[in-house]
Amino acid sequence: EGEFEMKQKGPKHMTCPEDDDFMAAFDKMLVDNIQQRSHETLKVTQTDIAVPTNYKSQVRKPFVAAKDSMVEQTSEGNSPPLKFALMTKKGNKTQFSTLDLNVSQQFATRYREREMEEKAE
Amino acid sequence: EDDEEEAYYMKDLPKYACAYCGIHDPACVVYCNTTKKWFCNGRGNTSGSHIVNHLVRAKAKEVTLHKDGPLGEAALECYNCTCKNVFLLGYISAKLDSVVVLLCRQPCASTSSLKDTNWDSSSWQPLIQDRQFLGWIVKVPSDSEQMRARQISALQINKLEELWKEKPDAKLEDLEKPGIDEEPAQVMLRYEDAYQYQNVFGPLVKFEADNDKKTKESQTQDNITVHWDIGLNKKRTATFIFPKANDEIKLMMGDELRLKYLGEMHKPWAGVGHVIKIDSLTNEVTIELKSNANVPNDCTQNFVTDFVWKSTSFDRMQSALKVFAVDEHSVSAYIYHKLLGHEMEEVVMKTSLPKRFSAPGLPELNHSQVYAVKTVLQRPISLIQGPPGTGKTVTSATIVYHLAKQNSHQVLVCAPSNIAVDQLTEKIHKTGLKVVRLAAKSREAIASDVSFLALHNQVRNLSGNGELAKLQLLKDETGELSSNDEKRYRTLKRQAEKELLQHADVICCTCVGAGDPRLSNMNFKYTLIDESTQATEPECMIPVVLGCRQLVLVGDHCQLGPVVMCKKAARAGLSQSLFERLVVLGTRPIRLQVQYRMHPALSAFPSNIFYEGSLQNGVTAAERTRPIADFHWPQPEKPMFFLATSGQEEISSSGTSYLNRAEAACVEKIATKFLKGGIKPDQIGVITPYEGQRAYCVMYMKHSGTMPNKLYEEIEVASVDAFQGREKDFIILSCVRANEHQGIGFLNDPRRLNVALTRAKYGIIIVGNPKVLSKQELWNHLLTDYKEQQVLVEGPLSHLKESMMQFSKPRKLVN
Ligand SMILES: [Zn+2]
Ligand SMILES: [Zn+2]
Ligand SMILES: [Zn+2]
Repeated sequence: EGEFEMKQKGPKHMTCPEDDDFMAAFDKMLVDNIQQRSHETLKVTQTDIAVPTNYKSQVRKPFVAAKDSMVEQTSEGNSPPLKFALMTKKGNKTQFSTLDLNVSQQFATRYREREMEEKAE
Repeated sequence: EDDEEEAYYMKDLPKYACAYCGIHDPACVVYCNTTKKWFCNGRGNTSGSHIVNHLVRAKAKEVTLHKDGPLGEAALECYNCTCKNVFLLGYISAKLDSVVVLLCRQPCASTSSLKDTNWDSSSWQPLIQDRQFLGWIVKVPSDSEQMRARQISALQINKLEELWKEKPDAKLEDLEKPGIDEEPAQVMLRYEDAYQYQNVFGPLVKFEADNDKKTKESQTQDNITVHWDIGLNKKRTATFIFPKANDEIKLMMGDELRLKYLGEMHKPWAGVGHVIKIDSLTNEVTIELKSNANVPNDCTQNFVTDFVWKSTSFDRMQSALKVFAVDEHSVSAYIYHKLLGHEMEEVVMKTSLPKRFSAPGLPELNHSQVYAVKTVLQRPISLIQGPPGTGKTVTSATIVYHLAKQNSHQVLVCAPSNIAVDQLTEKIHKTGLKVVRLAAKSREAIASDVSFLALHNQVRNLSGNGELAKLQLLKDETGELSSNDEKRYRTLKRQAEKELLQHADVICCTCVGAGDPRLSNMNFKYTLIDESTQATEPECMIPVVLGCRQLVLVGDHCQLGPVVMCKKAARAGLSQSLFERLVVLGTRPIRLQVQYRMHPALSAFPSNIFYEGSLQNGVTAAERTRPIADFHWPQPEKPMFFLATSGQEEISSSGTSYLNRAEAACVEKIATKFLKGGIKPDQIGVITPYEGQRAYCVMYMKHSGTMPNKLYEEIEVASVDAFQGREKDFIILSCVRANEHQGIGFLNDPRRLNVALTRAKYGIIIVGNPKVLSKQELWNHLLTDYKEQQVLVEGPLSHLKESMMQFSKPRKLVN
């Protein structure tokens, strides 16, 4: 029963000078890093990020269809949950890692909106 | 039972368990590449997740994910430039594909550099939000997981991080072990004897020294490009950018840096030099090398630099404490007991008071200044409190004049900072007294208004010293002397210095400078310390123990106190000045009461709140009124207002949490208005409590202001602390904090608010979020006051209207 009770209340934020100092230090570190970055003269070529053409056909579909088929038993009107992927480079190879969108719906929503717009057009 | 529980959780945790709380779900942990430790992404009871807590405290920036985490072995780096700094990383999503990539905030994610139109660059979001990694990168442990884990407080985190700096393998349990975390003894009000005094202050000075050493020596900058030159004295100088990676360390003139050559174009070389120039805008510093030998001045690349920490100032404090304890001649008996807080009868010294109290060459004194001078001359120990703009320096110089004239004995004049010493030196010189300004050897190359009074320059100008002059010439021309000549040169120079010091009426130096070996055989019965409320007690003792019988401490304990960087030492009371302790012991400071700086409307609030309403105005409203073309104060008689903004202290996407863009924009608009209205940029000061906002304001003004960039560059934007002791015609104060949950940080300190409000002569504008600020009592008073005066306004600058905001009635302040 103890565990049940613990599930009810998560850890509580404790205000203290050390935590205030931390927040200030975080802020400072963030700004310092940005500042320093803007001072560095970076020779970066223009960003060109191409999604491999085979992504749509090969990778995207399995994301939607496979794996958690349980989750996909959604009620009628709802579209199936989207599978997002993070694209990274390993050497010269492009890799994809699935994202767990339960924790960050933000860009999924945005993506849906855009998809709707496209369809409307 | 608790121990048992603890043992259970900590038993055989995997390597990747959070070093704070022990959570070890692979999906929830991240590895810190710098410190080689794992941390979870849960906040526990703090305001940031454990990994973020750690990165900030350890000043680390790169991490690796666990291979069994949500993203597998994906690397956390910019897709384009492979930057791994997690404070700069964020992600953007593709417009049509359900794909995201990681990009650094700058330059890769900026609109201008994103070529591909398939990506939505405006969608960039940082990976760390609300001081926690996004959940899809590192899972946030569930509430119940966090509740079952070890509960670690921010205080314990701090201690553990401190401990790791010395023992990287230490565990949280080690904090409980004796000896690890001893708090030093607190300062006291009264001391039995000077031994006890030394025993309390000695360790605090040691803590501060250790802390200073650690922060400064940790500063190494690599990839330095050097520009070589030769100074007037034939010494080799090196100029390079010293980036402010961490501005806990403020580079000062006279500091020593070591420069090392790592390239292959020249044999390995390292040289030490002291800083003779700092350009705070470009972060460019110039050092003068101690030796010209073998300098690789044909190379410009591949240098590294680090800080050469010197213990001199701390050694001098320790030595002063010791002298105070063991040498009965170090101070008079009266001062000895008075400093230790022993009950003493009031004494009035037998002195014939001067007929005229104003000193030649200085302005006439007003009644409260005359009273101060008169009283001080008759007492062995006195405190003068000089609120802003009350003529503290003139009063001090006048006192020094009379002390020197009356006693035909030298007066030692000190202050904690070189700037304050220079200001006072200049005034004392005007009285016609013979003044020597003693500066540290490392600062001799630094020019000031009183350079001609500096001991080393006076030695140079000494006539009738043929041999020394000849050797000096030779040294100037060639840069170096043969060892025999150098020996002779030094002897002669020492003699000349001694001569000059002994025949001076007044010797001026910093408190630490009073520990200079060149003064060690001298005896100073009369000592005045200006800005003494900004010196720590051991610092103040350095000039005092040189034989003091009459001591004058000048300062204002209602303005900022000494800066103590070591938290332990500060907690133990090192940040309390001697002046303050003497006030607590019952010595009443003599207060200067007439202020000549501020428009009367500006002095009213500080006077009421900080000085019991005792400040009188020595200037009229007319004398402090300056029309600005096409600009009107909301109340014509009052050159002040509070501009209410609801700008949020920024979180996430485009900015950083303690910038306040809305306020920065207001600051720029006001500054532009002032400039257009004919106010010169060097007469405008922008005060903001945070370095982040300072940097942002500077950038924003240059970027968005409609006047020429050069003008904005000349506007000084700085912290409250940097403005202490100084004034500007117009002040714009940007409060920044606008966060409902976090308090208002630095602005909480009443002394800081006092300083901020009392810098302006002709007008002040405060920009801030009244709703948030009014929760603090002092600000509530200020806002209520501004509202009553109908100068709490809102809206665009061209159409300011009175704000109808309501505040709860302020409680009466007790001072
Ligand atoms: Zn943890
Ligand atoms: Zn990048
Ligand atoms: Zn005594």
